[in-house]
Amino acid sequence: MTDQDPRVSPLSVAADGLLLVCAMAGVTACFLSLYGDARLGALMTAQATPLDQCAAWSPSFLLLSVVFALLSLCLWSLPRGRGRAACGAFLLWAAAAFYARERASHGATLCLRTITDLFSKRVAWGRTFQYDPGLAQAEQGAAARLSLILALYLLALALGWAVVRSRRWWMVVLLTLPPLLPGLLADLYPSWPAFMALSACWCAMLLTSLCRWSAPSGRGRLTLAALAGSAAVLATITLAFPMEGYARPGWALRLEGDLSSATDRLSDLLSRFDGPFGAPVTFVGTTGEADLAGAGPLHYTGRTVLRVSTDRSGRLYLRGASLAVYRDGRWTAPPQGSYQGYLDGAGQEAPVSPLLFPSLLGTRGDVYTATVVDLGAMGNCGYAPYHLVDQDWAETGVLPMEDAFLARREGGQIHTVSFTDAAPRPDPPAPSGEGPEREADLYADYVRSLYLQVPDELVPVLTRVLEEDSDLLTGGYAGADRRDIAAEVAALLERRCRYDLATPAAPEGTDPVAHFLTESRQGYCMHYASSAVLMLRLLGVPARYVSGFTADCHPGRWTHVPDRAAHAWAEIWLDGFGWYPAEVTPAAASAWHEQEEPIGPSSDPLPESEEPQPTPTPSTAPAPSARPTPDPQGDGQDEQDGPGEDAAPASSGLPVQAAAVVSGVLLLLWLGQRLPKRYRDRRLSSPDRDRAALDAYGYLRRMERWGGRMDPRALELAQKARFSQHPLTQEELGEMRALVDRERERLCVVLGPAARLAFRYLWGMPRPARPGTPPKDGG
Amino acid sequence: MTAMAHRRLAYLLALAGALLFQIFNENYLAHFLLALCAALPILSLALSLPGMLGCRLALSADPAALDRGSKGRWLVCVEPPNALPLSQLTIRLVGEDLLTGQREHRRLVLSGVARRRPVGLEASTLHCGLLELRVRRAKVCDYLGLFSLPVPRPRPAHMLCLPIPAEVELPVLPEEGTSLPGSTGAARLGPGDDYDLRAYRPGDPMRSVHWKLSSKWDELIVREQVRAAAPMPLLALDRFGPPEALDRLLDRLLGLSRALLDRRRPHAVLWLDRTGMPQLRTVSDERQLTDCLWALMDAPAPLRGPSLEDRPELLRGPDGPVFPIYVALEGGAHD
Repeated sequence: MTDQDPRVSPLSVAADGLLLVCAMAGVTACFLSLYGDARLGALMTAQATPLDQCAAWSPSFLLLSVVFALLSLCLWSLPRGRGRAACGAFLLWAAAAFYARERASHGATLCLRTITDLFSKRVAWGRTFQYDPGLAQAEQGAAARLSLILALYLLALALGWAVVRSRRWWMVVLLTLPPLLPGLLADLYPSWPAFMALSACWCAMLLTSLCRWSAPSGRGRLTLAALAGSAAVLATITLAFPMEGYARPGWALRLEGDLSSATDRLSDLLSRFDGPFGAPVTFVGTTGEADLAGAGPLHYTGRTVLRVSTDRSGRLYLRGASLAVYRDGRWTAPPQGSYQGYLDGAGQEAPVSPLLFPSLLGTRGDVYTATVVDLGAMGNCGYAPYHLVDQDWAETGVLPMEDAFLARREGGQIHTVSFTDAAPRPDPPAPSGEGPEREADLYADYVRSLYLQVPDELVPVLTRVLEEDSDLLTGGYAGADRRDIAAEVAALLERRCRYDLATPAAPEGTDPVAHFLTESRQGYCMHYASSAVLMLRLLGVPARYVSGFTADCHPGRWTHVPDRAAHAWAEIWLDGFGWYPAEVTPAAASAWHEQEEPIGPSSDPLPESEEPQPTPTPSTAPAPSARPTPDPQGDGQDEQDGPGEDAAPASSGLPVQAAAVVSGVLLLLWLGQRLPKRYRDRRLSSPDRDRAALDAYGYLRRMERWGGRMDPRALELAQKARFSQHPLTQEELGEMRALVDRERERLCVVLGPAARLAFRYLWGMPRPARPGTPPKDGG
Repeated sequence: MTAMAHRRLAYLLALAGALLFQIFNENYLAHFLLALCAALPILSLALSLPGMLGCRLALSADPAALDRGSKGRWLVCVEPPNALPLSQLTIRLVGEDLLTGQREHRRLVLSGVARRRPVGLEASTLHCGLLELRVRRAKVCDYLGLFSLPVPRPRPAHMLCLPIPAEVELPVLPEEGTSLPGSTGAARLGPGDDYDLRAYRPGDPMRSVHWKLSSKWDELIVREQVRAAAPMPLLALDRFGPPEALDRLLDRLLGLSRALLDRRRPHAVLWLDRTGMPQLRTVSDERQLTDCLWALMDAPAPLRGPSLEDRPELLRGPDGPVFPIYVALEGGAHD
């Protein structure tokens, strides 16, 4: 920076001032609107956060930011003595910060905590920290305001330098975007006019970046024109694509499905080999237990875990395993031997699996088949639709295990099962002395003995919730249809709680179901299903917890089921029919949820009911686990692929592996250019001048392979460096370096396009000329 | 990779990022960013297109002629058509010494040219010759640096790089006859001298009176010696060889020519062009000398070519007898 500055004119100062005001006011208003939203703050704490209190002062902060911007503009536009003035301004800030260091530190930490809290509530991988400065709420607000004022002052100084002196657009973005990034990543929206102002500043800086060293008056005119043009474009976009009523375009949905499928195929291919891609990253699926206590915010990769092909159109619930016992925030399988004990007690030697009761006892429609390819879902169970018909299990690849799940054949990833549309009969058959009716009757005793258990410590909580929000305990539901009771429980949960994938784990020492129902009142399918099952049991309805996947299927096409389509729901026992699925998680608003007809296990427990469609909850991991899935075997399934369709592309999730590969390749390419160049430059700058000159001669020799010319002077200097007793002078070494540079630049001009590209890359040549630098001519 | 390629790649990456963001994110912000990414190049073009279409270039030399080794500059003048600065102008220039055929390529990148501003480039004056600078290709890009348009090529500029006159000893030239009758009064005309007779004019020396004829014709008759026609010096040189040799040759030629002009001796310069055709220029003053040098240096000189030593029949002047002086690299000029 020089003290004399001929590059300032009134017009350029006005244009720079406008940019600065846009940037400062924009970032201030965006920040306050992102993090000072009292409604969001209330989600975290019962009282207003310090930033909520700052947001109440928004007009003052805006005015202050404009004043700071103008001060910074004046400072950096001074014709001389800018350095001293900037130092003075910084010292002023430092003195103020030192004077109020304690309060400012508290305020900054409180602001940071508010932001991290908000971020961690909404993003799966966010972290929070605890901080209690021991200040009253009003004092906390004052401390936060003080820290914000100090931060604005410093930001104005830095922005002034970036806009007026450096004129680099990326510096402006680097200074203004990071404070907003946590909020934007957490899918929060800033004040739109403020964001427009900030975006206009970014765009204007970008558009003038190539002319940043132009004559000041011309630069000022261009800045004003670019600012006006950017504002017009931003306004046009906002008007053409209004935020209100925005729906994700269909092409984006289709492309997401296609890209996910392509990534899956790549992952499948890579997973056949050992190495960094050998183990597929998926932690969803059904295992022998579901740890509700450890279930925090969910995060998915979008990787396909199942592929399904069926001749039935519509949504399928792919059932995994059911769990029976809830204890200490964890669902587990029935005690070992309990089912065998029931069989022995009932004298059953070759019983019908309870999973087949609906197709045997209910109304039976058309029979369909479904082929499921397991690409890495957890556990050993075979995911299959509801209402399986009795079939030759040896050919299916799966086998019903007790009353809980289908077990996959060892090493098998594919199974094909037949299923049907079945519904409870209006007049269930009376138990007869033989056949499936008798077996179902015997099994019902076992069901009542096992699937009505509720932990004692939860009974008061559940009772209180049922009494508070419904008349299920006191009303006339004693003899009602169990499906009505399940629907009422689902409605209760929908009224009482909020669906949120980013729900953190319940605090230690508290039961997750009790915490969900009484404290946090937010959760996802695991919480909803667990609570519903326990409430149904308390109401005398045998119920159990089931996990699996949902998939929207079309005949003749493979449907790719990503990990985020994992789901959990409840099953209730209907006498004379069998286990009946009950959807209890409220719907999450997403376009893909719309489907033509619910398929398989109805999410609506009442076929004739006018209730809204139950929730096909987008993505939840019913059983997050700490251990990875066994390595799936492709078994040549790729050739069966038809046009893939994503089953549940609801939430965001980039193909992490592909991004990592691309990033790695780009990094290697970048390093491959930078490191040799740095090595060469260091050798040419070696303090041993003779050595450096010989290295330079070596480079010239290597350039001869590219068509370079050996200058006689270079040869002479190299000979002197090699054979003379006198070392080269600094001037001679400089001459040698200049010869190398000149030859490199000459080659960059005379080589063909491809050779030039390769030469520039291998020799780490910079860009031929940088905009804004004095004209550079090479020969 | 050029800067424009870098910028295009960066824009494509940004567009791809926005597209991926739109595909995998369901929020409005993703949609907005994608639309903004698509609209920015259009805005950039709208702002920069008038300037791109009206941009003009001009080339000139400063000075138009200079001695070899002196500092000379090429001036590249950019004329933006409106008040907004041009984004980035890339000019590929070719500088050529028309005598030696040496070429150099230059790349000039100008950013933010807001008014008519000449940019100086150092001229290479290592060797004699007529230097020419021309624009091979010029293009101007938009404000984002993604699109470019060609700029019309201006007329080439020329700079005459003159030799430095060498200290050369002139050979002994044939003596010139007296041109004025009165000036030769001291010389007596002998029996073998040629002379003319004419009537006496006042001021004629009495010594020149032809008394015998005067008495015979009854009027004063004077004798005037006929001036001997002095042969014109003819500087002959072989115009071929490497640049360094040509420099020395031209230095000697210029030294000889200047020495002759100093003696007020008009002379001629003769050389063979690359096709073997003789080229003859008469030099009687500095302007003609400059013209002669221009003609001598505005065409390529081969490394080897026809020599005047092999064609003595060409050593004739434009009219009358000549005194050939062969300008050689080594030693002095010889006849």
